[in-house]
Amino acid sequence: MSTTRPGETTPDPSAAAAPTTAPPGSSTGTGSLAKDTIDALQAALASEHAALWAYGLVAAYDPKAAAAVTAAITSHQNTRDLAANLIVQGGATPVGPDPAYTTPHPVTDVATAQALALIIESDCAAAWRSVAGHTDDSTLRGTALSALTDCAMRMVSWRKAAGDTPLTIPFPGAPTQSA
Amino acid sequence: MHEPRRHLLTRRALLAGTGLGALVAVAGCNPFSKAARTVTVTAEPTTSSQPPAPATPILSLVAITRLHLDHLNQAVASDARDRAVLTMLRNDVQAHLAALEAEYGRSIGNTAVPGTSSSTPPPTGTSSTGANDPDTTLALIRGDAGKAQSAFTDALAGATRYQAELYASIAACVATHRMVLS
Repeated sequence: MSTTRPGETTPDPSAAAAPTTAPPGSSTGTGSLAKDTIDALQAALASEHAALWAYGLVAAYDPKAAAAVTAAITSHQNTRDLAANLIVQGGATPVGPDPAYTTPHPVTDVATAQALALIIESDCAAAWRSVAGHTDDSTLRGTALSALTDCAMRMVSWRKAAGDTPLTIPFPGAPTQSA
Repeated sequence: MHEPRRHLLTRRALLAGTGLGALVAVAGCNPFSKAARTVTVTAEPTTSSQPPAPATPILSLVAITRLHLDHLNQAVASDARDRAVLTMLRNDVQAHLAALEAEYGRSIGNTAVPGTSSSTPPPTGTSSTGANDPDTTLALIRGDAGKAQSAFTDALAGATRYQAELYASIAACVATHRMVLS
């Protein structure tokens, strides 16, 4: 979840604690990865941080989806760690999580929790799609595709749980393919 | 009496040899050469205003998607049981084909690419695949989605950055199709 696009969960400016790692966009790109690649990875990492925070909210308001939430959290933790490692290997300092985030709408029940889950996955899908388009490295593109595919499949699961149609969208992660 | 005739044969042999040599020279090949075989191509007309279309993997992706769409159109027409799901998938693949054809046109600097998705014939009630059994139809469509996922994943490696984003989204989409059909 980046902090610039409308409708997304954004860091809460009123939160007291400060991140201990570098802020977004602080990478220099002096390592083995180009600056635009590092920046895309930092955005993906920031989205993963936000997803992990927001899934805590989903779990609180949709207890019947506990298994799905747990699986999603595990997947996002793995992807977060992968992104952080890639950034370190690329010669930059990974962005850290914000202490809290502002959701695009209040989460008060199962329906709003499911809607938030869909936004989480949509934001992460967009971030990883962008990684695929900001590198010429085929291995990194494969990593981005794997993360994007995981997000797309969870988007289908959340739409199904919410009774939304259609279940699938033609271009997961594309700017016009919002949640 | 035989002298003039021998002279005539010699002249014929000389003419034949000269003709063969001229033919070899015109053809530009030497039958005794050990060099690699010359590969010739038809030259582009110098008056052509458009450069030739580059060889690109996107054409095979267009073909795969077009066949996938054709199967989906037939499945929508023949499988009443799963029509809602198949229509949803068909709409996605239709969008894929339109995007791929637009990208191919853009890549060769031509926005009017022949055989665009809008010219795809509407589905008919009969299936040329012979897959009127719903389970067989779904298996065929599932197979198409698997092939598409592999093809778009493989194509990521040599794609431009814009194409990489497009192919990644399509690969992720057809992965969700497999999920829905499983």
